[in-house]
Amino acid sequence: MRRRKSLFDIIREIESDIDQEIEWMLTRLKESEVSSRCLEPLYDVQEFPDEFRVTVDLPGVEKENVKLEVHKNELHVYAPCSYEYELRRYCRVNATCYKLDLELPIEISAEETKAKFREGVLEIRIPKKEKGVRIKID
Amino acid sequence: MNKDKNFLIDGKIKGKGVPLIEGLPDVGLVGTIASSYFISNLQSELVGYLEIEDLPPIVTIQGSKVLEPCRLYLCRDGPNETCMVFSDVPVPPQSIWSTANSILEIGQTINSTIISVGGIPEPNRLEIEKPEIYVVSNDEEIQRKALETGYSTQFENGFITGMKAALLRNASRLGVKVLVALAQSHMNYPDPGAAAEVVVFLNKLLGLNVSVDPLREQAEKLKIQLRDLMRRTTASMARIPKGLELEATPQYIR
Repeated sequence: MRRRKSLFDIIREIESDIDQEIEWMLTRLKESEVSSRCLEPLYDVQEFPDEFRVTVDLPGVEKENVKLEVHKNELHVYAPCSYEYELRRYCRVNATCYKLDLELPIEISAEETKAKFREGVLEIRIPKKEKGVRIKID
Repeated sequence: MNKDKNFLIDGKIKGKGVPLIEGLPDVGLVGTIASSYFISNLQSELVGYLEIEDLPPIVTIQGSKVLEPCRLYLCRDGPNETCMVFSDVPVPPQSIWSTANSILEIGQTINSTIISVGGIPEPNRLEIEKPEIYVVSNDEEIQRKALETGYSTQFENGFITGMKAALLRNASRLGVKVLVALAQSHMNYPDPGAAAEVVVFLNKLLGLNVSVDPLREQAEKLKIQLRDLMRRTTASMARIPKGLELEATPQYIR
């Protein structure tokens, strides 16, 4: 006789599905890095009322060599890396650059975008094109 | 391995009374970087392993040797000895309690004080040149010694989540002394700078003499090498309320 699924069984199944999804994404990412020989850097996006703040970890990169492009709602970062990164495989494949293509949920203001580079981390502040309007409270 | 236990340790370290340092993958991989740095820079010997529940079949191959992903090392620096718990993979969130209990049991078996090192997320990490180390313990004496090093500040209010929280919560029940030392760190990027501060703190606390300069010099290279582990750790941390570590505890009117 089949036992009815408990709530804990369902939670475990969901956790297992999430794990599989994450594993699938990490595998695809790694395959893409191996075939393109270009690394997707670690990055973080924070959304504020008027802007997005994006940080991108680019160890081994010189500031002068970072190419940053902002277009509509897209952000592109490319940088050659001064270290040869050995992609952890049984056979050696070296990657020597970083490439990040990021799509933000709304249009951004390319002209007002500011960026700085410190200790291997690129920090980009991208104002939103459509800013909110302050409403006077009576 | 004893059927009831998830670890196996060499008989010679039982009751040895040496400190046990836990640096499993967490915020900024601070504990992982610091513990691996000690393992590589001290005279180290593999003395056991820990089986992480719910981990799919994984082995680490190092120099053609087959190893368990979560291992225990005995590290010697002259007369000073320490044990290090180290893992090549993050602990799945659902296995944190059982892994913490195994570490506490190892602590009991060795008769150790457990020093759990890691990072605490600091959104303004880029503005901070020298990260602070915050310490908290279930034992006043250990806490006092940690503060006397002059390299740490008392963790007064806030939340700790994940492995460190599980160790602190269950330690007193098992009669094990635990000190948690957390350096201000990037959350999702490997942070060798924060790990270097932890190494300096542990040097002072445990009377070790490991030069931290090579770690600082190799920081950029290390960050590249650890990006895959960081990515996996970030995915794993997403299921722990790490955001709580940025919040203040509720204050109530007396």
